[in-house]
Amino acid sequence: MNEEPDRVSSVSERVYQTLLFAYPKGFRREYGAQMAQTFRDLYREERRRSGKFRVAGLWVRTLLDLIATATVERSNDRKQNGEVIMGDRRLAVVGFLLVSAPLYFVSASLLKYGLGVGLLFDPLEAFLSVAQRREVFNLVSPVVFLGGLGLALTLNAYSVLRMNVGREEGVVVSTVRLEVKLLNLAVIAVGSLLLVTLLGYVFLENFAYRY
Amino acid sequence: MGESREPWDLLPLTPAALHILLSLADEERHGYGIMREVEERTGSKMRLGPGTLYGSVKRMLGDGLIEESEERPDPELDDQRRRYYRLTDFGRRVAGAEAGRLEDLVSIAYEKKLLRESGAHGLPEGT
Repeated sequence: MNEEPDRVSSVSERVYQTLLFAYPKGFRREYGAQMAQTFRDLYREERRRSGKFRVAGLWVRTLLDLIATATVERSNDRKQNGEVIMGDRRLAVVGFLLVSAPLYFVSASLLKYGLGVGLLFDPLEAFLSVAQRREVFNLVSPVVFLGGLGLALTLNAYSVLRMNVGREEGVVVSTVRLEVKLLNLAVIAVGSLLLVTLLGYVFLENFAYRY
Repeated sequence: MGESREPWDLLPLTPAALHILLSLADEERHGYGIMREVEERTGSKMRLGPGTLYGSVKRMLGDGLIEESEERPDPELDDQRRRYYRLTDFGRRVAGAEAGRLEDLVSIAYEKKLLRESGAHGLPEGT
């Protein structure tokens, strides 16, 4: 243990220390230094016994171990942390704000062209009657609509989906669990519907057969 | 912490937890020492990664199965920053209860002729 670390091993140790950020803060604070020291010992032992293959094998095992255990620790941390419910609600609110723009646009279009009700669409049409505004709208709307929907879906999926990767008798087994959080699920449902509607509209506009 | 509960409340243990308890049964060790002992004892069939080891250590400390040793080795012999762990009395009872549970299972496997009395791996002939 007293030998000077070579450059490769110090780089590997730094990489592993960086990867420890995958664990929750409390766990990292309590065990991060010990885990880094343990990895350092393991790495030097593998290098001593030699072979690049042994070191590569250590990295593969360590990464699989890190993915599986960081997922478990984060999941446990979320369960134990009372602020989580607040965090999930906040994600739902952010999600609703992100879907509100495409929701308004799609609702206004459906009411206007489906039912002939221009209550929502007419003010938008009047606003976009200026050429410069229309140009900006055409440029910005795809990013705001599709990007906002994508972000809202990702954030709320993170809130309701729990992934667990573990090893059972030498085989890597992954499970995905859905947690029933109504607000987040509502954002996912509305966001998915809007996304399908908008993509369907884009497809029909660009690829549909025209008579 | 663990004294108010019975050992079987915590059974079955995960393989990692049982191996850590077995490793600490004869002496206190630091994390890397536990890893090496488990690997050597199992002929490299069981290798604990740092995440598995310290995740288990965290839960076992919480359950009162192990505790951190306050004694530090001679600084000339080892790094003073290492944390050493040892078995608690409750941890020893839990390890014993888990070993007994596994012994019962093995007895059933013998009765059902899934295992032979002796021989390589105890597997019946033809398997």
